[in-house]
Amino acid sequence: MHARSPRLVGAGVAFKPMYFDALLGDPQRVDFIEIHAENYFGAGGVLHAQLAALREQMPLSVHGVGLSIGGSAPLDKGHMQRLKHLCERYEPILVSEHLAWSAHAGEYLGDLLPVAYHAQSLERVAAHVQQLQDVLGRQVLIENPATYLRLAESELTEAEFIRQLCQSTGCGILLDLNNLLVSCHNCADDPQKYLAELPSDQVLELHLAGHARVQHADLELLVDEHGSEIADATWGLYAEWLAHAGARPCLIEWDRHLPSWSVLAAEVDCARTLQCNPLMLPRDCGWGTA
Amino acid sequence: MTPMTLAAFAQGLLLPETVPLHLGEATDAGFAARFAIHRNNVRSARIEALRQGFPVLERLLGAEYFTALAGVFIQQHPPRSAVFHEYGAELADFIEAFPPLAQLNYLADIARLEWARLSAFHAADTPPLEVDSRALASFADLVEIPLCWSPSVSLLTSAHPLYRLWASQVDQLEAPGAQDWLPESVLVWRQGLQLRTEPLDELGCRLLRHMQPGRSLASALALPCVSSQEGLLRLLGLLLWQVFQRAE
Repeated sequence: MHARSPRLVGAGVAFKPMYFDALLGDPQRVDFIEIHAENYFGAGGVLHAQLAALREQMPLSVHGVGLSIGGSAPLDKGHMQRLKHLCERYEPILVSEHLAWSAHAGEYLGDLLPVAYHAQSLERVAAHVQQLQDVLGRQVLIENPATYLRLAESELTEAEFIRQLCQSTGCGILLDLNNLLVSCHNCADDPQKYLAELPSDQVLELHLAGHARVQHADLELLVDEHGSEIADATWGLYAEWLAHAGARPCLIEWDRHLPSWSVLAAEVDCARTLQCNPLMLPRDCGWGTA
Repeated sequence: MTPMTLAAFAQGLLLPETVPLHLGEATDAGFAARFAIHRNNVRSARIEALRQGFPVLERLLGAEYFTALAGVFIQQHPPRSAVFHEYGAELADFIEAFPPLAQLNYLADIARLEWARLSAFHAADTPPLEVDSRALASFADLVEIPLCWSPSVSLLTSAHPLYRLWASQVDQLEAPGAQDWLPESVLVWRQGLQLRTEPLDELGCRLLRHMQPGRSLASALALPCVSSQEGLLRLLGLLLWQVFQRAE
């Protein structure tokens, strides 16, 4: 069993090069930054120069998006070595990956695809998580996915699957509250029931992000888009989480249609303010009754 | 999830009009719409990766044509790794063999140039060779040391005015016309952190190629085709551009 990741609080942002000057000029503005690991698998250049400069000023979280932990194929050893090298280079405080698969038959699919939840898949995913933790020599957090469909062969709830995964591997949970809301909306589940079922003490990081709505005939689906401000309902779920389980490092995940720094920093302020008082939503968070 | 389930799901993502309905719950009338979100994600992530890597190609083709071209490319050359900035190495050769673009064969060279820029952007950092006007003594030493190309360097030779075509899209310079459609060579590299793209004349290319396997500047100056003054100036220019590193 690997050492548990340190407990932190505060709020951070998904780092993009356009925010470099603002972050370096005022490093106290956020408590940490997070990067997508694969974007930094290159050897050098300005991306690494920026990251090295920021890393001297603030903690870093490394978030993998392409290891395909939920897949049936063995994990890509070359990919894991590059991730290990990145972690050795920047000594992140947290490392996370997704409960999803994204590659098949040697082809990278570029999406986080759903895993069926049953004993057989649990055994395979647990072996992959354990292997990753052994290669990195540290605990890894696993993120709950945004779900658009139910697979008929699933026998466990997602929360139960994750609970057993934590139990067998000692991994932590990266709880994405937007994903939770998206999944529950799309699959007619209850977010409160999900949260109650999840082992809250294993949750070591939170993600907040915006989502989009798409309409297919009379079916409205929420899509995990990371391209807009955090929805009121997600802030509400965040406040509920804080009251239920307390503060965790919370990342504002905004990856496309990037806003100005001030807009992004305001989301960080909201997340921090609620950590201080989850029962009083700040007026400028846009909290409404919807 | 059994391997068979994964295979059916993956096949449904990649083949149009095939939805693995049997993987969903029997009562789910919206399964095809739900599945379409994943299929769209797969397609758009790949095309977006190419769009990010080949912006000048997109400008020359137009966004709509680029998307259609990328749509064919991603089927024939799917990404093999999750590192999207390493996706697209085969695009230039694909364009060269793509019949609808046979009359626009300079586009393949544009793709090669953009691939070189993408590679240079992510290439390993190298310590610069210290050369300045106050250090003539160190320069005297430097001419005898074997040097090779820094990892970011690519030299492209084209039958087309490759640099001016590329620059016409990036810097809004005038595009070359039929009357001055001359071959050009282009050097792509990173000078420190700065990504550079410059045209290079025949002498510059000759000197650079001579140095590629790891040779001394003195040996380059001794080439029979290089006059000492002209060659020295050109080599100094390449040194200041930081295209060389010490050979192992």
